[in-house]
Amino acid sequence: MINVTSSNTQKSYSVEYPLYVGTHRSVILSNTQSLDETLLRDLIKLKTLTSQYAIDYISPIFRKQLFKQLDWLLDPNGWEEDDDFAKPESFITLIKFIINAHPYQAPYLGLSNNGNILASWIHKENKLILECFPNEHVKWFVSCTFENKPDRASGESFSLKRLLGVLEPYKKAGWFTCQ
Amino acid sequence: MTNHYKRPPVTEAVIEVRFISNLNDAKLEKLCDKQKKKFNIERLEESGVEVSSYGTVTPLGTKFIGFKLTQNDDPANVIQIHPNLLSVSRLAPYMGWEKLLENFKKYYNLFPLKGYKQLSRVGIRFINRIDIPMDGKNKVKEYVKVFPHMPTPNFPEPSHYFLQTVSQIDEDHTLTVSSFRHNDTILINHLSAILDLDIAQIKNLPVSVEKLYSKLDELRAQKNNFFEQLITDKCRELFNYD
Repeated sequence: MINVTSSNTQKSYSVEYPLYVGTHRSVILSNTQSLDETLLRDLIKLKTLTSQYAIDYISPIFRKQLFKQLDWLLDPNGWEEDDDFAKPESFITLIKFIINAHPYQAPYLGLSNNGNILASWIHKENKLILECFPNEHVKWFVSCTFENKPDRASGESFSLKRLLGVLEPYKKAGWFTCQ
Repeated sequence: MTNHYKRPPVTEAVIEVRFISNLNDAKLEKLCDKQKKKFNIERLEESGVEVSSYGTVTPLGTKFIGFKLTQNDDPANVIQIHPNLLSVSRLAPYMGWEKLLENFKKYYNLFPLKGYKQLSRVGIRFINRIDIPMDGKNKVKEYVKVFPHMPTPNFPEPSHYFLQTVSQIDEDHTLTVSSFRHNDTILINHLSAILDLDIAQIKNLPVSVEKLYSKLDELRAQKNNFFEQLITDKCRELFNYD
């Protein structure tokens, strides 16, 4: 992969081909300027990623809940000037978590300072919070009650398979149950 | 054979028509501008590089090629309008052929110029993602009938592959099949295989709107027939579980 900056427009783009001799062409989307346009483009990007990754592994109701959260997250009216834009690679990690973990309902969403997606499921006093990084890297926190005593754990996983294994004993906390 | 699967594996379905004449940039912009309440509109530009045998990379500049319109309230509906092309796509979840064709008709009718709509190509394309269960072994061949044929028994299994075939169905129609492994593991303990079918016609094209629509139905029936031939019963089970 090579990065090239066009001398005409100063836009950067990547060419996803090995460096074979010859001409390589790729299609790029031109840059938009305003915050509203950028947020709308980001919103569409994340919803499109949902289509590409989830196909129809999620129900229409789940999709609607998730898109409502995304609409709220990237609403220009609630946007602070120093907020970082959402990283699509971080959202891919979340979508992959969702289609492998099968939660009944969509998470509440937030954004970390560096544009990573935060996802939380809250059921009564039980909580699961994920900070999703690119490439299946997740920082996680659970809080629940075990035999009437509080139980908390946190960690960092670099594969979803490992993360699902680690969370297995906490499944009874009911974050993923239908409410 | 036509199957209506409970979980169609379609990640993108496209109807595309190309025209002999080019719409000029001003008319193209006006046409897209009328849709700006309903769609997010992005300019598409083509950029390129020339790589010499010495490894020197020279940017070739950028060229405007058209607009991409994504429906604001349902970004799974995407339209591309180029000076000589209209494509209407549906990303997942696929809502069925009837819905896709209905959408195509709606936007085809927006193309304004009388006499402009003389076709140079008609095509449909369906990109499917088939998530194949794995138990440490590559089982693509148990699900998909187009895969790399490797020597046996002592040749290592390919971890990635890309195959493309182009077939002349008859004098007028061409079928392009691309089969490759998705570069990401999407479902744990699964391999995601992409099966991409594109059927196009460039000769003896329909001359009326009604004939175009019935041609699209015909291409879709052909596509279904070829798709069914390319997958196994075990694969069909994947699309029908509850």
